[in-house]
Amino acid sequence: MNCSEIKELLSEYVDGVLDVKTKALVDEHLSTCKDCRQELASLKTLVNELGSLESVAPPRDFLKELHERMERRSWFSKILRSLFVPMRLKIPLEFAGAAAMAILVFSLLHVQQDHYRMAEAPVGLKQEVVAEKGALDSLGKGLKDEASKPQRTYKTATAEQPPEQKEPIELVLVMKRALPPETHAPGAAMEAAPAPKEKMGRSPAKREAAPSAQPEMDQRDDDFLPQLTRVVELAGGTVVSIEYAKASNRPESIHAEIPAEQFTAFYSRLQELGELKIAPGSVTGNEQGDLPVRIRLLSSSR
Amino acid sequence: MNEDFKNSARSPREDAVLIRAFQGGDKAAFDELVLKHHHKLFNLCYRFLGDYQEANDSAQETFIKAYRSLKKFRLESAFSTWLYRIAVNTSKNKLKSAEYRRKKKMVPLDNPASLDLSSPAMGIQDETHSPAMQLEKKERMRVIQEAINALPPEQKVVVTLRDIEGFSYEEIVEITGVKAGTVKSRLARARLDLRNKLRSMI
Repeated sequence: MNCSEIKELLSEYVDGVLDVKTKALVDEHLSTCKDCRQELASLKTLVNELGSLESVAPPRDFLKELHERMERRSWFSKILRSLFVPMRLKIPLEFAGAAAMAILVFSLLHVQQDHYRMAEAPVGLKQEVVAEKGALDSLGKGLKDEASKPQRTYKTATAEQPPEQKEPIELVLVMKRALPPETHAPGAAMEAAPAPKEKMGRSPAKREAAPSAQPEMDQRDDDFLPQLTRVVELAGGTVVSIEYAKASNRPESIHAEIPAEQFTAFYSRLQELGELKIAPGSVTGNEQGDLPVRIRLLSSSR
Repeated sequence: MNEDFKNSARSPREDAVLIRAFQGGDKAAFDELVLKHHHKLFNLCYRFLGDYQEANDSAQETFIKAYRSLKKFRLESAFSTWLYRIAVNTSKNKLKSAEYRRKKKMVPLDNPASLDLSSPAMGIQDETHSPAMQLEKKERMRVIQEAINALPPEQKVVVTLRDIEGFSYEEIVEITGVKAGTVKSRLARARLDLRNKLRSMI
């Protein structure tokens, strides 16, 4: 072993924890190496010096101070406990925090939902009001009002809705008892609009509602509805949905989409089915794409 | 070092009796345990932290932690090693704390006021009364403590436990939770470092 290897072992040598064989090697080296002997002597001096350091005594009132500290901690924990032990019910702090967070999140979400509902309210509410009123009104009393009410609704809604959402064009159709025979014959207009089949396919789910309800209708409505549907199809439009009156189960209004360029032709064909009213200014002639149309059906008392 | 004190701190049977009494509801038994160990434990904290007040805080904190956990202590290991393990960890945490570092910057540890070992409060057990001898001893202690303070915490723990408090290698392994080989190498490095720093004195 060389000196550096011996010096690394001297710490353990001083403490007497080397195994017998290693200790013998160190002893042999030390007997011949003065430098390592000096190193060992200085190490022993250091260890003795550290071991003979005066011990520093704790404060005399160490125990008293300890009692005071423990008492303070105990008071603090008692206060904490008393905060959460009303009616002998212990609520851990973590649980209380989680519950407070849940209440906060719930209330925030609730407020937001109310806000969205408020924003959506005008359209839905107005449509409902119109539908209910229409079912109750009779022709003699209501025709004049009917023509003007949708107009008001439409204007108000336009002001409140974002510009990209289209409000349906409200039409009121007072059905004739006897339909003009020429509407049954496929005319030149039918050839001009050959795409109803494709368009009809866009909303099959909604359209299914109409045929299922038809057997319960009386004869007049049963005849009339296909005619109206045909007029929509002739204009290249789509019947989106049909609303039925709850009490009588008769068709009350029809929602359809009509291509803007076909609207004039559609309008004139509708006039053939009955007396037609439209809110003034509903159609400006500058519209593009499909126009949503809502045709309210009223029976003629004649 | 006071050998009687060293021996009295290592009487596991007595500790066990006191611990059982405490676990049986005798709170005064804990006070006895404190009085039995607080001197040595305080000294360990002081050598490790190098500051009297910080050492006091650390020692008090150690006993409070021990009080809370003593009911669950199963006497599978010696109470003293368990207690010193708490003290070492508490002191290490204190050494790491921002508050301690801030204080260390504001009041240098070699400040004579903080190391006034001859004051009655410090309770030095000094046999020599010659003022010149006292001054020399005080100076030696200051220099040695400064050298210990400058050691890395891992080396400081090992050299304090071994050379100042006189624990065996096995006990140090138990207190620090590191392997015997690591204890030996840390101790050798710490001694080498101290020897180099204190060469003029020894």
